[in-house]
Parts: sequence; C-alpha cells; structure tokens
Amino acid sequence: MMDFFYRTEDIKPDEVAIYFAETAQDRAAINAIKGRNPAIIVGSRGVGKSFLLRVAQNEMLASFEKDRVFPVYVSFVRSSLIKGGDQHQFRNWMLARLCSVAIRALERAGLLGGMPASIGLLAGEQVTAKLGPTKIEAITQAYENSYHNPAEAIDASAVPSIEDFKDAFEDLSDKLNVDRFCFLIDEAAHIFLPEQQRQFFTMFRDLRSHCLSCNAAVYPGVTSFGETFQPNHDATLVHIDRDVLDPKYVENMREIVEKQADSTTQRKIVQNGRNFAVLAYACSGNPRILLKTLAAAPAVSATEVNEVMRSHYRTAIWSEHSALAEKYYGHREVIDWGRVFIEGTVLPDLRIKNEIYLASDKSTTAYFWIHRDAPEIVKEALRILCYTGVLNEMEAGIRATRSEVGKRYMVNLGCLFALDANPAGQSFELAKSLTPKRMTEYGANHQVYKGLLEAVALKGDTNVSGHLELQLGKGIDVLDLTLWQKEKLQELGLQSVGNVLEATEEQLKLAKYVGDVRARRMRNAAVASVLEYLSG
Amino acid sequence: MDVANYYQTLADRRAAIMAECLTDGVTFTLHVASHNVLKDFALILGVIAGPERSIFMQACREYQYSLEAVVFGNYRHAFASLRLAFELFTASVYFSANQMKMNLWLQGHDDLWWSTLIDSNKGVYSHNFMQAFYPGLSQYRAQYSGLAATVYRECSEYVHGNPGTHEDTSLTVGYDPKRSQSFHDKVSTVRICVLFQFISRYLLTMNQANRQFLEPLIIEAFGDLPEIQSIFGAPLK
Repeated sequence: MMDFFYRTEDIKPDEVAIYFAETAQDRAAINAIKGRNPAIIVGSRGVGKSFLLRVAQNEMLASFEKDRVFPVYVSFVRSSLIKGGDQHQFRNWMLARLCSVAIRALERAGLLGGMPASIGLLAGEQVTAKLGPTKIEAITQAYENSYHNPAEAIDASAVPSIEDFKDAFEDLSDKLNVDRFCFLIDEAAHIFLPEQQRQFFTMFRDLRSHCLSCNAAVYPGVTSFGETFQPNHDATLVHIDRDVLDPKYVENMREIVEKQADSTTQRKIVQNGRNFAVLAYACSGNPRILLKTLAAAPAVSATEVNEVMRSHYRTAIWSEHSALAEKYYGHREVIDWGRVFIEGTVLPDLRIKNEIYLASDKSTTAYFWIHRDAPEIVKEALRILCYTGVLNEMEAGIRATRSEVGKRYMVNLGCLFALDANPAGQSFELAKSLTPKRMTEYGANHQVYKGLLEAVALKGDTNVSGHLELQLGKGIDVLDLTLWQKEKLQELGLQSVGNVLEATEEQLKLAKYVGDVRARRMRNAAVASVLEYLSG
Repeated sequence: MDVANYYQTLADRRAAIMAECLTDGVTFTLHVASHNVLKDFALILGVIAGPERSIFMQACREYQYSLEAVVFGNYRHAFASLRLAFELFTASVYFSANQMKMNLWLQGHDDLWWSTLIDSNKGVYSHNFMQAFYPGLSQYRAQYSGLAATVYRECSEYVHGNPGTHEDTSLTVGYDPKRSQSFHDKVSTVRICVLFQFISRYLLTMNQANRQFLEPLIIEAFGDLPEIQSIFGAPLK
C-alpha cells in the first residue's frame, strides 16, 4: 500500500516543489503571499495552506539574490499550549517566536555571520558563538511549556515591543542589504480562542512597515479580528478552496496524487478513472482527504470506493466533528446542532431534490443558502462545520428569493454521495451536473434554528483550567498518524497525547527500525499532529 | 572447484530457483499472465508495417529476456530488460512518426533517449502527437505520460542499483516472491502504456479488418473510454 504524505510538515521544506501540482488559483495565492501587501490564506484543514506557504518560501529563497526579499516561515501551532495568568503572554510569545525563528532563518541562510548591533535587540542579548538557546528562544520555550505549570511567572523583559521589533528589522534590512522580510505565519490563530485571534490580528496590523510584510494562514472559522485590523483593508483575503465545478478539477486532483503515487496506484487510477473521479469529487477539493481515502481504496474499485464513502463520509468525518464537542465544552450545543442540521435537514432535502433532477436530466445541487439575518449562533455552527470540512463557505451577499441577501454554502460532496447505496455507480453523474444556481434557502427565522436557540448557552473562550490537561491525557488513537507510527509509539509505551508531546527523538530511536531520520520525521509528524489536535 | 564446476553450480542454483518459482502457485499465475502479454504484442505486430516493425520485434525479444531473467531469479536483469523493452516499444511508435530520426538511429548516427521519446512537445504523449494521430484521446495523454515516466523510473532504480534494489539478494542468490510480484506488476503497467501508445498512433488509420482483429484486445483495455466505444460502434447516448 502506498504511504502518502498527508501533511506538509512531513515533507522536507526544500522538497515541497516536487509534490506541487500547480493550478491558476494556487499561483494567484502564491503571488499574493510573495507580494508587498499582506495576505491571509483561508482554508479548512488539509486544503494545502501550509503547502502554499512553503512553496512561496522556496520561491522567494530561490530569487533572493535578485529580489532581496527574505522569507521567514513561522508556525504558531504551539499557541494552544500557551497557558498562564499574564494577559500579555500570547503577544509576548508571538513576538518572541518571530524573533527566534527569524534569527535562525538568517543564520541558516548564511546572512548572519557578522553581528549587526541590531540583532542583539531581537535576541534579547548580544548573539555570541555559544551553543544553546538565545534568551529569546528560552522565553519562547518557557511559554510553550507553560501548560506544565501555568502558575509560574515567566520573565519576558527581553521580548521587544512592536516598535523596537520594527526598528530592529529596519536596521537589519540596511545592514544585510535585504529589501524586505516576509513573514509567513502558519496556523496563525486558534479557531476556538477568540482572544488569541484578536491579539494576533492586532499584532499582524501593527507589524506593517516598509521592510516587513506579514502573511498568515488561518482556518475559515477565524473571525475575531480585534479593534485595529480590518479584513480586506489591512490584508488581502485569499480563499484556497478548490472549485469542484472547474472543468480541470479532477485532472488537478489526479496530478496531486500522481506526484506521490507509484506506478501501481497510477495504473489503478487510469483503469478506474470514473471511480477516482468520484473520490476526487467526494473530497470537495481537500487533497489530504483525497490521499487518505485513496490509501483506503488502493485498487480504486467500485467496492472499495463504496466502502470508503461509508466509512469516511458517513462515519469518520462526523466522528471528528462531534469530537470537537468533547474538546470544547462551551460550544457543545452549537457543534451538535450543526450535525443535526446537516444530517437531518440539509442532506435529506438535497438528496430528494437530486433524485428528481437526475431523473429528468436537470442540473443537480449540493448548495444551500442562509439569510444574512439568521441568528449569529447559527452562523457560528456553520463556521465550525466549515472548519471540519463538512461545509465549504461560498460567496456572501448572494440574492435569493424576493431579493433577500445571504451566504451560499456547499455541502461536502462525499457526505452527499454517501447517502446513496452505490456511490461509485451513481455519484459521478450527480457531480458532473452540479450547478450553484440551485440552492435550498433557509430564511432569517427558519423553524429549524429553533432547537439551537433554545439549547444554546455559549460560555466564551473554553481553554479554561482542566481542559488542556484532559486533552493531554487522551490516548494516541485520536492523533492523525499512520498506523505504523502509532504502533511504534505504542511499542515505546507512549500511550497518551501528553506522552508523545514530551518524547524526545532519542526516545523514539529506541523503537525497532527507527534511526535518526525516521525519529526526526516521526517526532515532527507526531508533534504536528498533537498540536493540530489540540488546536481542534 | 574448477571454473567450469563453479558455473555448473550457478546453473544448478538457477534451476532450483526456477523450480521454486514454478511451484509458487500465486506468483507463477502472475508470470503466466505476463507471458501471455506476448500474445497481445503479437496481435499488434500483425498491424504494424514498415521499419518500425523490426524495432517492435526487438522490443518483444527484450521483453522475453526479462521474463526469462525473472523466472531464474535475476531480478536486476529482469527489470533492466523490461525497461529496455519499454524503451524499444515506445521508440517503434515514436519512429513511426519520425522517419528521419529512425533512419539515423538504425544507421548508428543517433542515440535513443527516453527523454526524447516522452518529450512533452514532441514525444509520443505530446499534444502534437495526439493531435496528429488521435485527437480524441488527447485528454488522457497527461495521465499516461505520468504513468510511463513513473514505471520507467521504478525500473531504473534496478538499472542504477539504488540501495533498495539490493535488499535480500545482495549476498545470496535466491527466489524472492515479492520481487517477482513487483516485476509482474510493472509488466501490467508497461503493457497498458504500450497499448495506449499503439492505439493513439494507429487506431484511427487502420483498416476495418485490422480493427476487428484487435477489437477484443482494445475493448478489454480501454473499453471504458467513450472515444473507444464510439470507434467500435457503441450506440450514442
């Protein structure tokens, strides 16, 4: 069976280009990232946000001699571990992390050999040739370890202010002859922590200068932009959901697979083109889900495809969605209602309509529309559904019946296909006949909202005491790792999420067939998976 | 042990490997299927005329060497011969459209390069090639080009002696069912690539008798493609 790369973190940064199947939309996103104006890449899990940031980073590094734009890739995925009483801790942690990663990137690129005076400010002290972390790196680590002991105070006096930070980079750009530093911030804002979102976007806005540009990748549910940041004015929002209506959609998805697949898998795809197309449509533009479902259906036969539809789109995708309700107690009612709404109302309705449309050779639908004045809590439920990939957010401001204005959503096609007894046989026609013009409308006061409005009791930010510990105590089955990786972790007695987070590479190397390279890859994959799980 | 005895021992060992291969029901069934691919190639030979026919025959011979090598446990040679056979099959189709290059190659004035054969602008999977001989199949060319490149690279790993290809067989010569199965898997891929090249180049221009002659083979391999169905008279939907 093919062992695909599901996550960008598993691919060596300089090898990302090998796996890149470029589309016009991807190119537009990369150009936006490379440009002077800040860009925010929006997409649900697994659509390729990190991948595009890495591609942009590689391209900027390749043309650095000519353009003098230096990219710095930073992941904020560890933000879910920041815990403590200090109200500025998240801002401090972000600045400390930007500083430490920038220093490391400049050193690795060979630009920091001699010591410009300004670097001392970023590092929190003069950079010397000594081994070990700089003071700023130590602060970052201290914040990231704060989940161990939230009560312990962290000395953040070495973290620069925003103004100092900007000044330091201005000096650096003069001394190193760098035109502009381009920060690429991945996993930028935690979806269930609005306060972190506000602090992030405020910093994002404040960091703007002629020699600094910031770009970020966020999930669709991120909406708390803070007081100073204005979306569309302070940054270009780039949505990277692939359009299933694009005539080249299946071809592009196949190209993504071909970059990784061996000849056996490629042959199976060639011989079962229609079944593959059903898998490609079902993933609704999400390459990670396509690779996972393809790994579960290696022969691409109709039987396997039908089984995948049942196991993934009827069960796994919903288990993942409902698992959020366990992790974020405060959002439980909203998350559960979202599932009931889609499973109990939207999908059956779309199914009945499509049966009629297909019988009379008419265009089919996977779309619905929600009035802009629908209760905020309903929109919150839909945002979470977008985050888990059950829905794709489409255009806002669409006119529907009686010229009412609202937003259009597309249901994950896999969930729609999975309603059929034989998706491999029936779904292709449905997908090929889709049109966004047909959509079921849900008005501002639709009766289906009633259940949620009665049940809901939002509790605000949910990263409260006891929550994180509970997540860290869970078994490693919840992590998004390959079976082999999980077996190795179990072989080492790493049973819980917390155990994996604290394991060192040396510990991992104690497992059979795990050497330096595999230990590094496994740890990276495990930590990335742990943190994405904690992030939701 | 004198030299003659040494080689006799080797031959005995190879014979033992072959005996083991013949008794391994699952793998030998795959071998028989790969062997029967020769019948498909024989059908194609019945249609190809001109100098490229001899190149196709050379390819068939090289393919048989690869089958022989795999049954004796000479895995590296089996993959190398399969790769060369694939190159020659592809060359016969490429040369059929590039007679000057074929003559230069036959005279020994030019070399055969895989990269030339599958060049994205001038090779057998290029847009121009498909446009010239079978525009209807053009939409599938990228897929088959990718498939051909992948299987060629996988066989090349044996030619270049990549580390993974030494495992199990580096110290002792022995029967390796997994490696045999991998070989037969590559054969299936090479076969479908060769068939696609062939129908792209010849199907539209061949006479009705030849079409009928080849119909079972083509329908079995590509019967799911609407373009092929229409050629063989499927009713329009």
